[in-house]
Amino acid sequence: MSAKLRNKIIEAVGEIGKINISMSAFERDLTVTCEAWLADLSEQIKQGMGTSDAMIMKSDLSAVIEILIKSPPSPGINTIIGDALTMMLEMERAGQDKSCVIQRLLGPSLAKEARQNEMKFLLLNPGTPSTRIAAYQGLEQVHSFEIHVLPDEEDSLDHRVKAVAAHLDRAGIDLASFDGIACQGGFLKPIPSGTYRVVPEMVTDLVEAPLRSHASNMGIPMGMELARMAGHQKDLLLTTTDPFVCDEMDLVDRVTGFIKIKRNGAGAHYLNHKAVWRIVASLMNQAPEQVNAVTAHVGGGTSLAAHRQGQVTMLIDAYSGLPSTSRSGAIDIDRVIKAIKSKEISIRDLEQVLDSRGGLLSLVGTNDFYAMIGFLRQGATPVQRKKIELVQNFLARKIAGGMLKLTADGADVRVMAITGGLAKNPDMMHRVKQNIAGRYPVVTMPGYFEHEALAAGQIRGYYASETLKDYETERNALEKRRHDEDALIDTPVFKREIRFKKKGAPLTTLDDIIDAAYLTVEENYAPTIAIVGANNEEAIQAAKRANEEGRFRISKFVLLGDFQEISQMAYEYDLVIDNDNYTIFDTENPVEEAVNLLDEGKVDILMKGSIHTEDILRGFFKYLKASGRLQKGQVMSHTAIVDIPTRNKLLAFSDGALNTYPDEEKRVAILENALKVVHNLNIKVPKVAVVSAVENVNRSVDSSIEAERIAARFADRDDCIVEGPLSLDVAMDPAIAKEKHYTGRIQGNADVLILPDIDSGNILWKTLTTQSGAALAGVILCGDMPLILTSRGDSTRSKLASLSLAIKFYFDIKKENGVAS
Amino acid sequence: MENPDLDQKLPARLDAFRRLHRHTLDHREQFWAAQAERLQWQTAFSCVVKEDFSRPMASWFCHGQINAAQNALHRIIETGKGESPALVFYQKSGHVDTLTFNELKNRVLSLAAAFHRDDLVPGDCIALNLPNCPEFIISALAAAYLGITYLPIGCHLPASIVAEDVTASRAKLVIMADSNAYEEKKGHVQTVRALLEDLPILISDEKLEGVPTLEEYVGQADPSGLEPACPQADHPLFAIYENRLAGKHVGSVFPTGGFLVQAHTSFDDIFNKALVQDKPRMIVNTLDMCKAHTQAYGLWGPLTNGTGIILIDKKIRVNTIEEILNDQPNPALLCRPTLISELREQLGQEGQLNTAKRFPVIACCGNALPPRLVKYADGILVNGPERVVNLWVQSKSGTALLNSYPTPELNRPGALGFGALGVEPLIMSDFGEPCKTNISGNLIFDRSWPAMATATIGTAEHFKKTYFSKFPGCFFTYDGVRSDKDGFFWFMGRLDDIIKVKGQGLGASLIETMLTSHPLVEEAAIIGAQDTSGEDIVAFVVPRNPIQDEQKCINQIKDYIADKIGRFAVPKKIIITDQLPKTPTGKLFRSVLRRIAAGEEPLD
Repeated sequence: MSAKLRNKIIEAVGEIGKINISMSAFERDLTVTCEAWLADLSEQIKQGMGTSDAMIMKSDLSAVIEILIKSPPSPGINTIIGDALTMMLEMERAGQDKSCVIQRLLGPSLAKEARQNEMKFLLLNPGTPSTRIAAYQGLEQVHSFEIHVLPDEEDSLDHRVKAVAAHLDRAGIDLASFDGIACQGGFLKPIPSGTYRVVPEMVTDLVEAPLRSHASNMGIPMGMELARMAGHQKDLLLTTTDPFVCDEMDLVDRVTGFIKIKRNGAGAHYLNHKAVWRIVASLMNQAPEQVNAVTAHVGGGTSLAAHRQGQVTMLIDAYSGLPSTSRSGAIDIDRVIKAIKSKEISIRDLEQVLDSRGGLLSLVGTNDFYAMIGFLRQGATPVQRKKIELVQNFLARKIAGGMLKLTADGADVRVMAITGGLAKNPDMMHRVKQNIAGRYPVVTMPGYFEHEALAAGQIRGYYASETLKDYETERNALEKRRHDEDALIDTPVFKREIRFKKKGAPLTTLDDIIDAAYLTVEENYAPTIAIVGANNEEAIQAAKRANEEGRFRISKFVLLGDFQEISQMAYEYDLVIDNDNYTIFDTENPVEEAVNLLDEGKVDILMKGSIHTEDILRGFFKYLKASGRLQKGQVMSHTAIVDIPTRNKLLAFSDGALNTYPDEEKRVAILENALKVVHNLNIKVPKVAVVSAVENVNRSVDSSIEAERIAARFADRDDCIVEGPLSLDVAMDPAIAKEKHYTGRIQGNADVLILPDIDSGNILWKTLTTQSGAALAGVILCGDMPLILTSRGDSTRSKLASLSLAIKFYFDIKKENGVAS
Repeated sequence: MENPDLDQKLPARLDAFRRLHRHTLDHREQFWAAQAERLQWQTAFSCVVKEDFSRPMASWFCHGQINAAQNALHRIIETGKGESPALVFYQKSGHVDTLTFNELKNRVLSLAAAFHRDDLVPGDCIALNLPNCPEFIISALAAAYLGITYLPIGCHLPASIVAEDVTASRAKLVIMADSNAYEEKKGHVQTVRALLEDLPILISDEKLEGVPTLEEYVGQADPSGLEPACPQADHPLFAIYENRLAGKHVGSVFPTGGFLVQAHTSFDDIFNKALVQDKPRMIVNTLDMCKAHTQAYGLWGPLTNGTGIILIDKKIRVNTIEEILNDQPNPALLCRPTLISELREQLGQEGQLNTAKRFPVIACCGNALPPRLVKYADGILVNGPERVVNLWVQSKSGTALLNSYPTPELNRPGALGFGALGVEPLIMSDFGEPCKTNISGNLIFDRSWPAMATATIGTAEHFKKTYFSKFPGCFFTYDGVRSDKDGFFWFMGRLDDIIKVKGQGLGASLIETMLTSHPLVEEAAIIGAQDTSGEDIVAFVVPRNPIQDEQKCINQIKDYIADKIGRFAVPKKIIITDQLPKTPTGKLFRSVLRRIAAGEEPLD
């Protein structure tokens, strides 16, 4: 069996090999001849050719293209198709008939009807420094003018309208003679592409909350005002076609790597993209909807569009996409963040770079591409030439990369087209084509087709009014669709990401602690936490968030305090009192009651709410002593765990909150407590630095003497490494430990710092949290009982971490005791 | 359950009770008709209820005629209770006065005869500016006997407001006390008299120069041959003013028929039918007489059920309580929650009463008694925590619409209890969706209840705006509640701060609704901010359209409020903001607003 298959395969491969050899010979032949032929044609076009010659050429070209697009694509053939299509359009545009582009956009029958009936319309295209206008009759542009806004003039709608009216008057064109006005659309609300009848709702959207402020937003209001001036005897048809805000993007392309930011299709040169795509399809003699294409508009702004079944499903928009003459395009976001952090640039600078001071302007100092090319030819030093060469390659690679990126959906892309100002530069186009390397046919269509597209839209609307779209309907339908899609993107899968760590692996971040607590709760049960004095917003919020963050409830809460006040708080913060997960315990003595509940086993852990720290500690201490859970020599102490962004592990320190000026015995007990906490983080042999101002014993620094004695008491322990005295830098920074020739086992990698007193502890605490962006979790330990204490300034995350630390500790101790007994 | 026997006991078990409650809702008209028929009607009603909350309108027991005083006195005496105590008065002097039902009836008829002599006729109004004293009850009964509406006016109010109220009500007679209880109000009667010029004023206690006492007024009036009036069911029994707005007195008017029926039923359910034994025979009324619910549970409810009323004319001390428990036959206590904490203060945490007797029931009106106070009361004032019941009342509710019962399964410390029989409370989220178990939302009623108040003359629009605008077609209580899996309602928060301004409690909602009726205002929230000199009103306003000149807008709003409500209600501070802080479920973060108002937090 397998031998048979093998033979069959070898035979087939052999055949293909033979065909390939002859194919590539043909292809080579064809490529060489074609190149020569096309070059010859190009020369003829330049010299001008007779109409009949042109007709013959065109039909020759058509025939060649027709055959080649059906044959299996290869780099050589793709190149020929691209060049032939480019040539064909070039030839047409060089010919007598100036309306060839509009004809291709309209299709033959509509074009014929329009030519015969000679409707007249005005075209309005307001830009930043000027208003471009044109008058059409039939398919012909009979008049065009650019009305500049002078620098000392006020640039307003009213002013521009008056200027247009005055110009038409001077030119002897009667406003009332028009049948319609085609307006540039501006930044409306997102809508699908197409030609729309102008409605007043558009003005509302443009004036009240345009997606972007832009001179083109004046197009529609100007058109309406001019129509009003033309008088009511005649109903002018006002249209706009494919504004910047078209949005047909597919769902996949809307997603970004960050859930809060979603893309949409607005912000590209749709008018030009759609026109180019239609023209190229028409050149290929195909219906546009059947031609999957990629179009690139490269000019002052650069945008790229992928056309699939007539819709722009993927897009690289003009603002966040490719670099252009004056825009930077997208830049690696982490580098941007670093640059901002290092104060190299500000957000404002960045905005400018993105909009008007980036791209070519930033790289070579001009936003005029052709000035750069001119300088290259004349005046540039060899190094400057090299630099310009580099920039050209950079732009070419970006453009080619962008175009190829828009084929990533795997669709059968038939053709790519490049248009815009940059497409006029053959050298640049050559570089781009080289990068595309014949993967797809590339047609270059220099210049802009916006006016033709606006005009074609108006003409189509006039003769085939059923094709006109209704703005409000389309806008609302799209909004609804986008809303539904957003809901899908926002659908939570895991409420909070849980990163699984190997069991027993050291916990290195606060998130690890939170995750570990979830796992512990999953293995055991949700413990009950008593919030002592729960008539406090902070406490209510912490209790609520604790259970909302994760996949399941991490704890049950008993809220001790005034019934009415807690109810009111719960009401305002939407905390659901269900007497199971959240129960209110009405009392005037929360501390006393909390301790009673603890004693009765009804709650597991206490958490401080609105009660003063000292009051809750006093009550708790009394209880522990009375119940015999506090052994001789044990003290109550606070251990803080900090997650410092620049460090790759957690740091514990004690005591910055509770014990003011502990003596040596007390400090040993504090150290023992801290060890318990750190062991609980799966750090088997923690490195403990007993910190002083110096790393050598110094008679005049008391803390250094004490540190030495404390370290000595732990010398024979194998569950920890305790060294002292150590200065903070030696304990924390490996480089400094090395530089200072510190010989101990702690080399800037301490896990625990034992501070001399509350002042130093608290200063360290506040320094870390306020100055280094460190997040802190804390727990008070008394014997084997954790007590949760969060302070007002803590973030929710930090509070949840503190809670988690206590919960994990509670269960671990319970397990230990269980095993022991 | 086919036809629950409503005349007997209430079920003691939770599930049975909830079935019964459901039944009374499903057969609401039948239920209320049966309750009404337990009273004596001069003319039977032709239809139980006509209601339309979209207007809003509700009229109960249409075309029925009923005399409230006859039902409270004659009907009870006919059952053989003529010699039972109807009214016991513990005077300041320590003296105790007792009136039996017969005696009370005679006093009432004599006063009614005097009213009749002075040409007071049905439809007239008299004002009662009296504390908790027998004269109040006698005057109210006498007025009701003749179909005269009475207007209780709070004793804490200054003379100027009393006079204003009397004028607004067009009362033809004022009965008042020159009470010594209010030291600062020396010469109260004289001041009011000066303000009212010609209007006849009677004084209930000591003689005062030029003002006749009630006794003198009754004189030799002869009650024989005096005919009781036959008021229609919706004839106003009494009215109460709540707010004195510019040009308008806003208040509630309670219909004779509906109010009497529901007060009788509610009192009977809570104090009699829920208990198997140990029923109270008297009720100690310590509530302020100027509230509607005091009329229900401290006057009409007990009397129509043949239960006597005990009044105390002094600060309530532990020894008075001990005295009452020892002397009176099984008295229940009607009080505000604060009384329990006051008694605890007097007794001390460990103190005990000097008697072994306990109240069979303590009924708290207002905020639910917090669980810790229920725990305290248990053992000292009552036997068993379930004996402390809670009555949820509001100015428009008349009687309690939510209450617990003095039996173990139908009471939870701190809970508001259940909807009264025949009344269905609903909980609605701010988006108008019903709230699920334990989710807190707004307490509303989508159907009327018999004792429901109507608006005082000329304030119907205000009434509709205040209570029927947030949830169209539903009565909104401004209370945030939740209901647990057993059907108990729990109070969670008030959506309407009461701000004390110039001695009057002013509901924040009142100013809020007024503000939102201003064309510039989209949304508004009112917060009371504590100031050194008292409470200040702070308003947060979201304008409908962007504002150009903020100061001008603020002045406009201030003038508007001054015009519509009065100078005293003009906010000290108006903060213009583009949105109010809200929770994801649409609740206003009042605590955040309060902090902003106090300047502790910036508005962002």
